[in-house]
Amino acid sequence: MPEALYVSQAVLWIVVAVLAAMVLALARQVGVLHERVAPMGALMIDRGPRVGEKAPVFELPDLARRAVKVGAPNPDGRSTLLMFVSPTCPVCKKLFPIVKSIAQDEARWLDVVFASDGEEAEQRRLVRASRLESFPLLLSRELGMTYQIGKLPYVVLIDEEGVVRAKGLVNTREHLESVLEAKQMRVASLNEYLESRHDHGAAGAVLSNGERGGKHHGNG
Amino acid sequence: MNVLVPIDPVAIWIAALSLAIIFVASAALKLADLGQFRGAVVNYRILPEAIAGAVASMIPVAELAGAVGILLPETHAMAAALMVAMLIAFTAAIAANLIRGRRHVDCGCFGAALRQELSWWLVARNAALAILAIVAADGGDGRVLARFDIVTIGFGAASIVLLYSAANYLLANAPAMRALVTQDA
Repeated sequence: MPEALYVSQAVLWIVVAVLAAMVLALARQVGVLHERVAPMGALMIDRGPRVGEKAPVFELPDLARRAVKVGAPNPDGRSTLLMFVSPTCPVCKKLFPIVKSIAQDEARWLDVVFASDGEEAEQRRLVRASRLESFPLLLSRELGMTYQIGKLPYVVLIDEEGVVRAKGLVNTREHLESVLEAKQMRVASLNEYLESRHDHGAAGAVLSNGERGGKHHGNG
Repeated sequence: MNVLVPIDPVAIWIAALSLAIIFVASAALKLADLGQFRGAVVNYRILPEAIAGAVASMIPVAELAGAVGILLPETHAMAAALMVAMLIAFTAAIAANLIRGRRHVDCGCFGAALRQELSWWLVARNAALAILAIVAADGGDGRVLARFDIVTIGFGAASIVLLYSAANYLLANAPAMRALVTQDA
């Protein structure tokens, strides 16, 4: 009789462990599905001003109270990289040195403008801690709402004519560079550029990576 | 040391083994992207930024020490006490931010691997871990383990760890789920 109980107990344990493993697998799959569907997934690309469309024109004061124009055609032929950040976003902090070096390398044609939202004292602390004094930082809820920013850090590249040329969530130098590349390669949109590469069978994996690879790191 | 009552050694070993696996895993995930974890600790706005960085490096080390210590007979009570202390500290930090209304801070519990926003569920989860640690600190009732007990301990700990991970995935999914529900409404 004890043998029968041992066997029964062992069988039950195996079943419990398998069930627990399956629950874990299901929970992970639900997470993947969430990523693929709204609101942060494919839909986000189509929210806010689209790539190829005119960017809405904003004139906002930065932290130093200078007026900064975003989205208007630029008389000097310069493009604007609008980067949405927040003091509570660790990935943003990781990206600041990279953005600064890119701003230096591309100073010929590119202005970098940061946008954030929330308490001004916190923003000042962020600017001081990350040494962003040389860049304008706009404090505007409306700007973020207009571009439908769901996750950070998010960049929008606006060209000299005030047209959105690329946008997306960025987590790495590669993501940032791919956004700038969309402009330098003179393709209408990052999607089109990536799709054309995909058609040639060149870099399907890079495609999905550039576009959605950063999802995990977003920080609302 | 019997904290409450003498507990059967099988329960003690299940608790100790589960905690060891859970703490090793969370320490490894934090160490994999320490920069990100530092950012998370700073975001809690509990410690001054200068200290937060150092504390962030110490946390995974302490977790590893607790995980190893809880499996050794000589140190298991001390390691369990260390784990309870850590859990109380983490939970206090989470609760403080929840009370301040800062939910959209990353928990940091698993480094950059799994992001969870703060919620009272995390407080409940940590309380459950603390109960496991208190069980693991128990000196036992002196029963000698039989061979079949090994099966119970192994599968019991495996089930707890798997269910713990599943619960964490569900917590990580919760904000996306909420967004979906409000979008449909």
